[in-house]
Amino acid sequence: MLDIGEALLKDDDQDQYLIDNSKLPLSQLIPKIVAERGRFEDLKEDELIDEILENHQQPANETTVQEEDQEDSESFIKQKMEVITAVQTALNESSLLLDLVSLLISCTRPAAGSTSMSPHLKQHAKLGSLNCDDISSNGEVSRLAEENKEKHSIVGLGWKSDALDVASKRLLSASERLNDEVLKEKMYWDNILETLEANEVILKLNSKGGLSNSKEIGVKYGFGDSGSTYFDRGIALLKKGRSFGEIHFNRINNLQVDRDEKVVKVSILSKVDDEYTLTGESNSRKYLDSLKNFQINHTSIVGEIERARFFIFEEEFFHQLLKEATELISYQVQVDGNKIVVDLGEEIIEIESVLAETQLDDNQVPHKELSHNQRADYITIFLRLMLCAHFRSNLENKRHNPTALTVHPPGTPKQKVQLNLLRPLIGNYRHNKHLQLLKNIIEMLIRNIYLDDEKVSEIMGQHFKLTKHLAEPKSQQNQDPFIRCKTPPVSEFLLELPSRSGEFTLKVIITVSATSSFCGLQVRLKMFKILEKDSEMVLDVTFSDVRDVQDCLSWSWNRYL
Amino acid sequence: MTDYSKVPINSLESLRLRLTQAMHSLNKLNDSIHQSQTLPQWSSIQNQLTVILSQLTSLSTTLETQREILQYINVYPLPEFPSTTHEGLLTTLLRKKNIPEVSEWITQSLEESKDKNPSASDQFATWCAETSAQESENWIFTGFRTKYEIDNDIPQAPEYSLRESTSTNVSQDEVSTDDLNKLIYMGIDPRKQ
Repeated sequence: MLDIGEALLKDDDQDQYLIDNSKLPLSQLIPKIVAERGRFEDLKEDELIDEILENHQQPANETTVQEEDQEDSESFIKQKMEVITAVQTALNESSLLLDLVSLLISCTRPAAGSTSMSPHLKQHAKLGSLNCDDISSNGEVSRLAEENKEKHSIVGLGWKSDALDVASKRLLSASERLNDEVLKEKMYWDNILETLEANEVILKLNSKGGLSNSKEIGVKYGFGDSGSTYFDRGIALLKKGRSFGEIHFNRINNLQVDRDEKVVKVSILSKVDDEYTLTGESNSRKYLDSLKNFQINHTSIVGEIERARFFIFEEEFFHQLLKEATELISYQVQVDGNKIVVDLGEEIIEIESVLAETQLDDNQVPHKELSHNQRADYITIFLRLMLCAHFRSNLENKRHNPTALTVHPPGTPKQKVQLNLLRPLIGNYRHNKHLQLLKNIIEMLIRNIYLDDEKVSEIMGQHFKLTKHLAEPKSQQNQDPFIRCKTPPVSEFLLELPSRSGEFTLKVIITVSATSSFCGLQVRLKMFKILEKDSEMVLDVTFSDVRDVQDCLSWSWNRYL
Repeated sequence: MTDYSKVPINSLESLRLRLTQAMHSLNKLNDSIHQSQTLPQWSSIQNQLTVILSQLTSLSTTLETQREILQYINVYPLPEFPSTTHEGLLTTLLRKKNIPEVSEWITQSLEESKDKNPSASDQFATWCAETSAQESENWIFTGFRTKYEIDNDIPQAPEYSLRESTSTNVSQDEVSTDDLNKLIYMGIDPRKQ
């Protein structure tokens, strides 16, 4: 019996006996595929082709694996046959003994005897056809029996010591295995604790691609819960390595996209002698250097999470920039391949996503000292912060109570927070340019009218006032730090011009505002004639071009002053 | 009328009972192994094996207790037995010689136990049984606290939870993220508010 047990235990490890998939009926094959590879809708033909190709590329390995499998299955079958033989021998022997006993019993208790007899014996031997005698009185027999008794008492010794030996070995190996398991578990859970200590969010996930449908621990490294609407919510599985229990960071995303580690880089090109030359570049090294430590210490799970978080942000960052840029084509923003080109007239801002490794390598991308480097840095910081602000407004939007159905009939798309990364940048740039332009025009026109430098500087100094940031609601100023960037800029010129005759003053209010898209221009011109006691509005017009404003101002001042 | 008085019915009956049980379990194991190309679950095999082993133990105990009676009987066929047509059957039934595997097994064991002291060996076995029972007692864990925690009366493992976000929970001397953003974007000094 011990033999059977041993042979059976040996087989335990190999109970994943190969089943030929092609021979399985469809009703079993489909659940098996689902269990191994997840839902059918997630299966991609391309991936499967890649996988098959990969398998073909390693024919050498494949054959050895097959050979091993073959050997495994051969030895499995051999051992199984051994077990079967042993069981059958045991069955045979005990069956013979039972037959003998039953037949012997049947002499006085035929009913009882016949129930346990084998059909074969029942057929050929009559019940009660055996008998026995007591031979204890025979001296020779008793002597032999005594001898046997002694012999039998020591037979057990060998077996017992054998059994103890086997048991101790098995216990030892089991304890070693358990010890290994404990070490593996400790390593894994230490890493999980480290992840928790680093204030990461972990969650329960269905394991994917595995044979079993077990639950596994995952980590949310992305910004899915922080207001990001990016398709990749940034969830990874924390898998346990089979051999050492080390933790593995496996990203989950349904779309197989290019997973290069890229950073967003801003370059500024300025117009010098009608040609654009590079005058500033943002420096991504600052960010990457902080990640460098993690590269060295690659075993650290927190480092890997940190790294993945950095790059998923950069990935989404560029994605959102591209998305916004495509809507801004009417404002000289072009998307050229993997590059966003913002034409601001005298300057061009180029935003591109570049491989992180090349940025770290001095030979590939030498860092030049350029005059606008710092500005480029500020632009990247601004854009990054604006994405954070966007996340924040998304979160705030989510927190609002749902609107009543009567207000928005069903089917109206839920109002989304507009993405404003490039718009405020371009809008404010243009706004300030317009302000400068208008100021120059006003100064030039005043000079044309008064023809006196002293008078002009007096007016420009005392009766000219520019107020900025009029659009910010004052009450909200203390709540949202991003309010200035989120609202289109509005500025106002206030100008008081004495008429040449000295009878009245002309009060001019020019409100320069950007359209809701930040980039459009709107100028409202109001003019009042102020007499000693009375005032009279003489003009209230709206323009969308600076030239028109110039024409109107020139005409009206010539007429009224 | 044949005299069956020497047949030790009671001993045989107890033997028959044990044998029937053992046969039943062996048959079951045999069937389950043959059932499929692969083996059944290892736990089910192990369970069946344990049952079989305990039945074999009780069978051998029975044999041992009935030994005084059974070893002194001599079985022989009566004229009713078709010994001429089924001689093979009779010799098989009355065979006393062990099958080769078993006799080899016994020889091996005898070889090994030659210079062993029976009482010392028994003592050792008892010690083994005691020790393993005691050890298994030591290594049974329940609940979620470690042995160290239980021994030192530490109530529970520390619970991990997310720390409060810094922007909402700021002590007096610190500057919140919002205030810092305001300083960057609008030049509002949080200290002057």
